[in-house]
Amino acid sequence: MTTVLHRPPTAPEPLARRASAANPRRARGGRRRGPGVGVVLALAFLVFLGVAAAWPSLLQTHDPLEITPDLLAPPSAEHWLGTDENGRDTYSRIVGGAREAVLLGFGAVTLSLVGGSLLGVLAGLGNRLVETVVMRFVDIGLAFPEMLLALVVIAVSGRGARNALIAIGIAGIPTFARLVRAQTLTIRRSSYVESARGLGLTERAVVLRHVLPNAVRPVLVLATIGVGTASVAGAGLSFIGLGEAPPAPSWGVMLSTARNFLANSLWGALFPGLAITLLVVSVTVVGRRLQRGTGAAR
Amino acid sequence: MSELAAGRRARSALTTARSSAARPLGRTAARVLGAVGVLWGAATITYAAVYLTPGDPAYAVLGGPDANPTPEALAAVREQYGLDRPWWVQYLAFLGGAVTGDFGESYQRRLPVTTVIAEQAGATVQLAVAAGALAVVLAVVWALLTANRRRAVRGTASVVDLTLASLPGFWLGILLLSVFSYRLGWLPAIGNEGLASLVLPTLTLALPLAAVLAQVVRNVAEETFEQPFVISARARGLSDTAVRLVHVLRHSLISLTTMAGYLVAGLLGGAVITETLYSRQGLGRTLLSAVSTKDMPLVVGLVVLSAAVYVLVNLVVDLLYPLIDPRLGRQA
Amino acid sequence: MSRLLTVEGLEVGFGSDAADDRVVHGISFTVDRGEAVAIVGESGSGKSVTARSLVGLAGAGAHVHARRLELDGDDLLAYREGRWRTVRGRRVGLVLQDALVSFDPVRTVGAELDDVLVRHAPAPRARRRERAAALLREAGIPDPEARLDQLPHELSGGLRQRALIASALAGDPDLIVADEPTTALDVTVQAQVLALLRRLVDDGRSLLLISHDLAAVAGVADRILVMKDGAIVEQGPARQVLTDPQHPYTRALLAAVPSGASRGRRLAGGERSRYASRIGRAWRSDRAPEVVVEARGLVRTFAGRDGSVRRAVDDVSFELHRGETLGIVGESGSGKSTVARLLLGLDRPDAGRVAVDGRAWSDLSRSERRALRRRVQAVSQDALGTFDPRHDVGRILAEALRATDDGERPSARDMRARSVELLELVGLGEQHLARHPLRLSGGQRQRVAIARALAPRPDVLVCDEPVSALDVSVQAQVLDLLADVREATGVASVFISHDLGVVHHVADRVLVLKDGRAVEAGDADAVFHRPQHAYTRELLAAVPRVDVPV
Repeated sequence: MTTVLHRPPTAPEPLARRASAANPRRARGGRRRGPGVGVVLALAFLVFLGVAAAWPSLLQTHDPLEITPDLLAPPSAEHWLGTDENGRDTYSRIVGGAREAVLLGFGAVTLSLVGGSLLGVLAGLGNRLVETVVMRFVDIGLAFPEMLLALVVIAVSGRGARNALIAIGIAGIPTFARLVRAQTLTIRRSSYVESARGLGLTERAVVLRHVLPNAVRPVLVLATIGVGTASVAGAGLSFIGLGEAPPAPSWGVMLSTARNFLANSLWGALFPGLAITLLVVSVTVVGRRLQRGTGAAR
Repeated sequence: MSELAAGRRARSALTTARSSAARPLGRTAARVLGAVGVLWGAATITYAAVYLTPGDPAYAVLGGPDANPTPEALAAVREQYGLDRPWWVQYLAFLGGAVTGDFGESYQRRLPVTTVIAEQAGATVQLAVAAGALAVVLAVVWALLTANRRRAVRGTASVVDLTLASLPGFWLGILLLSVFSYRLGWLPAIGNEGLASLVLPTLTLALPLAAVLAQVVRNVAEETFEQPFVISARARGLSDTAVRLVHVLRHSLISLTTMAGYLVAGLLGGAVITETLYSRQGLGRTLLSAVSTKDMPLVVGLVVLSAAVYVLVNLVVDLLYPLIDPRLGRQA
Repeated sequence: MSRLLTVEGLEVGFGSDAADDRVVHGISFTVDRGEAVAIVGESGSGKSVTARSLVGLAGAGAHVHARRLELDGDDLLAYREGRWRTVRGRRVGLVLQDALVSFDPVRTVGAELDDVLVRHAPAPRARRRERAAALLREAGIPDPEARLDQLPHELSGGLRQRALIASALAGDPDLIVADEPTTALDVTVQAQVLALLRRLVDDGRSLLLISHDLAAVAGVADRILVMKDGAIVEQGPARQVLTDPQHPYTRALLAAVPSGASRGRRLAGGERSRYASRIGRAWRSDRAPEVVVEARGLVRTFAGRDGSVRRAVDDVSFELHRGETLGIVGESGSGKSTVARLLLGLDRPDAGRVAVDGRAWSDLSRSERRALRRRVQAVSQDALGTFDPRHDVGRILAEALRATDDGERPSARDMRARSVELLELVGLGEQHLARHPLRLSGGQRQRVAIARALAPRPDVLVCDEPVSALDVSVQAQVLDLLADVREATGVASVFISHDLGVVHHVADRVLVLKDGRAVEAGDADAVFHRPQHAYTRELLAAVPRVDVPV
């Protein structure tokens, strides 16, 4: 069996870090500190995005499609973040683009997570034949760099926001499958599973009560961080013209048009990119915090 | 100079490891076979996905769905590209071609896929190698300089890592363009001419990757600093700098090897966006236009090629890993 | 003898508020030239931090204060990082526990030694290599030239520890500070390493030996300091501290050491658990058959990486009678843990059979095996690892209780009452139900593990190194608890340990394992007092002893 060395791009740290055991100093610091300013700010931004995605009109100051004569304007009291090449309000368009970003990020990761967990659990719990078959497919999936796998899916299914989501979601499945399988195998060999068997529990009870919950939990935390990567990938697809089509507000599309007007104005490119970056930073900060939380529980 | 001496010693340890690691030839052969199998699977799945989906490729050859070709033209194209043969004949022909490096002819360019790839590969290789090297060097130097320092330094460094790693490459590129091309006029905004045109794309591709690698290296470095052997080394009189160069650097590089696959994937995927952003020639932009125009032979050729590169890099790392980490090379 | 090290009023604290987080509270001691001083204490006593303060490596964020800290007349308090480096390795050599992690795992032993030589004894490369080999030879390592090119994991534990001592000697320091240098070693190897340390002292060096084990330092130290909670509670000549301890803590520590002499005596003092007898009566396992476990001709082999076959357990047979405790002793790699897994039915022997209550694991169907598992329960060294990380104590016990009664679903209230009963049996209480095991001390975790093992009212407990990770005073409490449980419930047990004193204390009969074979078996007193096999004699001779007046 080929072990393709592949680290999940979002998880530089090993899954089950026994940080608290190995490193009392850091563990102590982690426990004593409260949520921290960073986490609070990150949560606040995510709530803002959530509201923007659900009820954009609550936060918008203008119609994101309304064309005004005020072209490529810098930020002002009227247009908080300036206007684009058609005089549309950048702030309102960013709010309008939140839905695409959030849906894409969470939707794609959910797809990867569900697909990957099913395959991973199947491989981790199944007999040798099942494991071999599943892992061969996962190995093949892992042989594609994720971005290229997404491009193949789009080449086959066509461009558009929904297809971009599916493409990114599918591209993430092999990575999650491998993580879940590795996690499942580790836990199956752990001494708490052995002692549950020692109590005479049935194999079913052992799997349902001990193996699955412990295998999936750290992966769920990782998925949080994966939302950021997926959003960037989605915006990237929009940026190269394979995602959401104009004139609908989309951060990737906004950036791609703003790139053509860079010689005149930076403003149009500055804020959509900032929004994506803040989204990624926020989910990473929250995800790491969750990771530390589960790390401390073991 | 003691660090250097120790470094040489360490390398001699590596050479010893190599001789004994060469023993399990069977395992090496199994790995290589496995990689070939994976590659075959990857090619097959790509082929199946691309050719067995609804839609007549003959239309793509003749200008896409908007074109209105005559039935005679369609028949001629089908004949020319062998599209009228049964699927399994087509598949076997594809596979036979793929083994010999023949992926057919591009619908759009009307040139053999391999010719198109050969013509575009140079620019992408140049970009990927430059960006990959820069990312690794930046990550190691930056992480090694900042690991295990005062709290303020560590905090700042990890905020920098986090921010850079979170920057979408295309936005970073836009910012760089705006500053260095449009405001300052130091570097060209587009094109492939000369070294100057390579600078911004390289930075765009390298910086976010470097930040991710730096996070990994920093984690390993911080963990290494906590190890008893570092306390032992300090207790033998080694300075902090010596500890960094002798122990921490070595362990960081070992961990970085496991990231090679990630790095290659990042470079290949990032090339699509970077080349588009800077209107550069290259495989990434070629792939994008092939996807947009449904130029399937070119899509398949490019995707199989990149999967091959990726699998090959992972295979090499897999086989070399025991030499890099002597703990695996010779079991007690 | 002249004074080498003077420590006066040493205080070490961590964190921003030094007074709040102090782990060492103003201790004072001295070490003379050619003298061996031991600091003995349990975990958290501040002994390791004290040792590391002497080389200026107390740790990140540590605040070290002292009235005097002098090495050979030099005031170390005035030293900054640069000058400390002239002390480390050159004037004070530090030896840490377990050389596997104290040497860089990816560098050769020679490279690690060379670091010190380059710094403290500069010479051409070839000369340094000769010197390194000489150092290894001096530390009693055979074939030193070959060892120089080996990685730490390629050496045995004993050789590794010797190499680590050699690296501390490389700069020819006057003082060796050894922090738990033998803790990870087998008893025979420990004796050799301790002898090596003593020889260094006899050759004129000074030694500061840090240990949790009073018996281990007894044969090495001239003077002993007893530390508790960051303070020295007693110090004096070794013989006096060991035979005529003044401080109650020292006395308790000595009394807590299990041995043949302590058989039948409570190690930690105090009364028997009040609840033990009451609950025990309810499920005394007198119903169990006379022979509860029968192991016949057990063989278990493992395939090595290179295709070789290792016989981890090789033709081992024994019986365990109702209410009896069988001790299994052996060094690492002797196969004792494999025997435990075979007994528990978690692993299958390649030959031979294990029968519990007259039924052999191999003859049973899957569901019958499941039912039989409840009759034989395990207590292991790493209690924390055997708890599901998501569960609190209440859930851990509830699961074990629920496994006991097929079909029957006791009410939540009944379950809670029975959990509390179990906790009280092991000396804990209702307040621990909602705790997560991470928030319990090591001893408390082991008590929960015992409570869980008792929940299905088993006939047999298989205890695999149950007290090896515990401090001696906590170990004493857990051993007392196991004795109480045994008396109250009549449960039979197999007690596996590397510690001969512990086994002699608890076991009725003993089985000595070496390389998977049972080399000796018999009544505990007979085996320990009149060993027949050469290996048993060697083991017993290596055990460090304190002659405790009881």
